[in-house]
Amino acid sequence: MIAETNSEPKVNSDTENKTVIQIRNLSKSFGENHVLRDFNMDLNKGENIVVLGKSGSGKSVLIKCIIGLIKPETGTIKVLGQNIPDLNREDLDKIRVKVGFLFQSNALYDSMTVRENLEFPLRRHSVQKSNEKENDLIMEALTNVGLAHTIDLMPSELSGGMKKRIALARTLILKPEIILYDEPTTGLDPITGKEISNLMNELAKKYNTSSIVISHDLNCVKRVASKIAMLIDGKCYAQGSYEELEKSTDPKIKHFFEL
Amino acid sequence: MAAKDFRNVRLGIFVLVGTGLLIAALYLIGSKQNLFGSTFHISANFNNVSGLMKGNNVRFAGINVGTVESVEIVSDTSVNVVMIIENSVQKFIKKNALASVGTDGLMGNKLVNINSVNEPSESIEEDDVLQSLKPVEMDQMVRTLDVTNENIKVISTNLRNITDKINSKNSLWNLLMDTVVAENVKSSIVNMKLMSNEGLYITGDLKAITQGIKNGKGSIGALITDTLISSKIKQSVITLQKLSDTAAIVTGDISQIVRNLKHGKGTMGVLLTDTSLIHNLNTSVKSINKGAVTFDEDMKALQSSWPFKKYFKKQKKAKK
Amino acid sequence: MKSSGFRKFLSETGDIARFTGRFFTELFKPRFEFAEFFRQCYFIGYKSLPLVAITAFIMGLVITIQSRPTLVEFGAEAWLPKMVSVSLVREIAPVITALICAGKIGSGIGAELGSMKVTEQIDAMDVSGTNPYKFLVVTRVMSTTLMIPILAVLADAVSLYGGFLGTNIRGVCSWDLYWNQVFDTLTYGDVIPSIAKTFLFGFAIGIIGCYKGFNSSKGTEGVGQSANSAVVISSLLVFVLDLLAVQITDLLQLT
Repeated sequence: MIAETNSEPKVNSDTENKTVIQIRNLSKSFGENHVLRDFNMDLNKGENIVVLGKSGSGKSVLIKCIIGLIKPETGTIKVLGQNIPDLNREDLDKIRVKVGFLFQSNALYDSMTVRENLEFPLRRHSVQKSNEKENDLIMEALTNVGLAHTIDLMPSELSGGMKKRIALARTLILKPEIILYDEPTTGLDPITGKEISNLMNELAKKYNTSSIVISHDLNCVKRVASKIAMLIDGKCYAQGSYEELEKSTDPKIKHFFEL
Repeated sequence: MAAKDFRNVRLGIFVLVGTGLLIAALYLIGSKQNLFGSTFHISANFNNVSGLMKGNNVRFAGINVGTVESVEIVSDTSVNVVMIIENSVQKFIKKNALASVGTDGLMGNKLVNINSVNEPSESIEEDDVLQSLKPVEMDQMVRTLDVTNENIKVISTNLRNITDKINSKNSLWNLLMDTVVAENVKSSIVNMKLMSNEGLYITGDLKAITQGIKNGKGSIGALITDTLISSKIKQSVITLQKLSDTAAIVTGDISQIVRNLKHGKGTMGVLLTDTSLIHNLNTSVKSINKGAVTFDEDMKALQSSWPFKKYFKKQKKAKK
Repeated sequence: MKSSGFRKFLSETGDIARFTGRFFTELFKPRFEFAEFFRQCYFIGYKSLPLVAITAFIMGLVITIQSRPTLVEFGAEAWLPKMVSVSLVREIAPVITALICAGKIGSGIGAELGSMKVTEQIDAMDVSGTNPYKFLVVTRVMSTTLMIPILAVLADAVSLYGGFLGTNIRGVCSWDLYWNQVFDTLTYGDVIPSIAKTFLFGFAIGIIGCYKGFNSSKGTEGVGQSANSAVVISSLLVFVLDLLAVQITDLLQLT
């Protein structure tokens, strides 16, 4: 509906849902290192795309471009119809309310309690709410991740898995339409990783979110992905479901699925 | 939330104490420079302000009462100094007070001293102009001191001359004379004259005798056997002795007189004008001297001449 | 090698200048982060007070004790409060305060922002609709700029009190006489430039700490490095600014 002007044929071809993120010809390089080269990808409503790629292949750069933390050299990133690189600060903030971002290192504010961490995006995003409403939202978000009792703790007092959950709660508190996960299970033990993956699915259903997940943890990918995009050599090398790609004979793809 | 409030309170105290201290310090400094409180202006013109600057203190009777507000050159020989003075001392500073530029201590800051003059006058008013004194400058002071030293030197030389003169000159005694003493002196001097005349006379006799002996007048044997002569000689020696005794008494009198004179007894007046007397006194004393010397000589001669040798030896023995 | 080092120095200077320029443009944009500003003021100002007070007290005491022999030589022992108050207020208290703060606050800011950068907290803020520059840099720089002068005033007071005790170790100077002499000696020309330069010191400490933290390289080593170089550069800058400030006040004849 939104990206009509685009002439790319494969968009909107088979989906009943509208496209929420549309990436075209995205390029970004750091010095001599061309991390992204003409990267194209679409995220449709309700989809959970996992971007699979090697470490340092530019996966993090990709989602940071989407959220506007990194400015790409060329290309357009349309999120909910607006081209991120062209936006000014104010408009960008408006988009960011609708796009959650879960950082690889959680990025919980060390100097603040869990409550203050959760309050932070609420207060910041000029979402005027009463104290009570705010408190309700915080409690709801914490209950969603099962950590209501930690509300007055400092992040340094939490375990790795708990931090991840709190970070997720903080991402969800604004009820975003799209969530970008940056390696959500990295650094966690397999069991915790599994719990987090399940939580992601649960929340996606509950809040009807779409998401892009960056990961190389196949367990997680398997659980979460409705579609997988292979990021190889700065390009979207292949797209498909887990099963499809697993069966692929392309050595570059196969490489990922060999345990 | 409570912790946050507590924190804010502490921050508030911290900021208030800090700024309060700064304001207090600035106020104190300002009040030292009379920037606050009620003040009035006066000015004074100086030839030379010796480096006086804006902000220097103004002292009245040694108390800081204000500061210098501005120093401006008015003409080639005049510098106008405007001072801010506390209102509280207005009634004490009179219109005829004198302003001078001074120094706080030997090396301290310059300041303006306002000194009262010992004459009645009205209290000073806003914008009055004070009379000024030349500032005391160090080199000038040293220069003046030099001159003073020179003067002292001259004075002390003169003093020495004067004392020398006092010590040596009789005329100054006049100032210390009195009539009674003068009378005494007069009479004693007369006596002395008489006596010395007598002495002279006797001495003259003796001279004649000795001359006779020397010349070999009369025989020696006669002389020896002539008891008359010897008794005569004896008599004359006794007379001589008496005479010298009297002379001693006179001399004692004179010394008494001199002592009196020294103590300034009696009135001056008389002898002050009586220069002739002093002259007499002088000459008589001289005569006494002369007489005594001649007498001495004669006596020596007498001793050495052989006929008297024995006699003198006897006398010596008797004395022993 | 040398030229590349020099080039690096120049480019870093340029970066710092740009970073500082950004401070001023961001400062006047709306939405000032008051809560964070007061929080930083508390940590930067109040929490540094004991350290600053102890150092200032000792400096006041030591300077007084050390100055005495020279003054005694001139027979000017009575000038001790005057001399000590001028040297403390004009130079020692502000510079000591700034150096202590460069050490404590500069490294603190450098390490804090460095670790925030490394753990993506700065990005997280950006994503959460907060301009991290405004939230982190402007508040910190503002609080160092405003708190260090207050600390310096308190350091003046405490060091002068140290001077009072120092005067009374070997001599006798009553409380009233001491303060009378101190305020007799001090002029606005002593106090105002010395307080004015502490604003510059505070600004320099804040901006260097933030710059180093904000541009910290990845990893824990980067955090350590940024804390370290924040201290080194801001201490050096304190002296350079001091020199400049003294020259300017001297040039303007404010002394």
